Amino acid sequence: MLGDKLTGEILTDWRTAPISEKLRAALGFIVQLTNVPERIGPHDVATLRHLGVTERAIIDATYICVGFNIINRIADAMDFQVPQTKVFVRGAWFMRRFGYRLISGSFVGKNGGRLHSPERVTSIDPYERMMHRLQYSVFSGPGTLDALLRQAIGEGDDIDEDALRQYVNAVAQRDYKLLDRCISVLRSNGYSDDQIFEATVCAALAAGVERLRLVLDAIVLYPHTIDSDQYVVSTGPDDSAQPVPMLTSR
Amino acid sequence: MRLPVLDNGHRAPQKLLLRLVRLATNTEPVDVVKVFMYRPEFFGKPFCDLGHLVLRGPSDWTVGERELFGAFTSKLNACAF
Repeated sequence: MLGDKLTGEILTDWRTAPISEKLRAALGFIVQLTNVPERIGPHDVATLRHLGVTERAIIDATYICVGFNIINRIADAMDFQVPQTKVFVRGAWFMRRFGYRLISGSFVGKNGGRLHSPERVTSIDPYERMMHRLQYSVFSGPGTLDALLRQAIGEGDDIDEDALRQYVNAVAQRDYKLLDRCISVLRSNGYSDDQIFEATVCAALAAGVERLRLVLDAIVLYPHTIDSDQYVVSTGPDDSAQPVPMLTSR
Repeated sequence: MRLPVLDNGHRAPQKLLLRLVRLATNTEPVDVVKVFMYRPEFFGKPFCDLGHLVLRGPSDWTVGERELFGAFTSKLNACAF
């Protein structure tokens, strides 16, 4: 555990807090991924890898950042009440003690709703199956909003209906000025609260999935960038003096 | 909560669970829990299953570091949650 004081320092100014360069670099990466995801590229992966952050550690940090980007959007769009400190502290204790699985309050069995994924090539993403399951249930599973519409939100496709398009964009861009107006227009256009809730989740999840995809692409491209260790051809003087013997010369 | 259905539209099992939380803690359950419990198979269950693995499963980062990443992201989004 990091302790409350250090955590406070990091949250106030992560650039100067007394933490390892690895952790600082990861926080810098999270800033980019949250605020300017489109700028993420192989060079960011290179920076982290050179500091000793493993590929898996980059993916783990990315998933946490993506998950909170999703839930933050839902929290703001649905106007969550900020709990009192007392409740918050107790909630944090509960999370530490029991983890996150319990709080969905779902009684579906362990294998309930699990997708039968087709055989796939090995992925660098250890959470891929669970992420697919989440995307499947939100964008394509049973719901009150037409699945084609949910998929369109998920893909960032253009949506014909003005109020829905504006609402989805407001959630994705975290621009909440128009939210109440959009919701009242959607309601008068016949949308149920269930459908508005589903649209909210779709928009928030899409913003997360987009970020995840950018990082995974950057990781895949990283070995092909010039500054990677693995693909530097020769730097030492010995290499150039003695060419590697060919197998056929035996 | 902007949509009333998220406050009181839960199905029987989740409604019961929320009532138990109210009784046990003597306070209203926090909104995020209500959202996770609202039709959990749509979003809450798959999201929390994934979240649990990412935040508590094997990783090069400690649990504390991972919780920090979450709190830090919320701070960047100026989200109190």
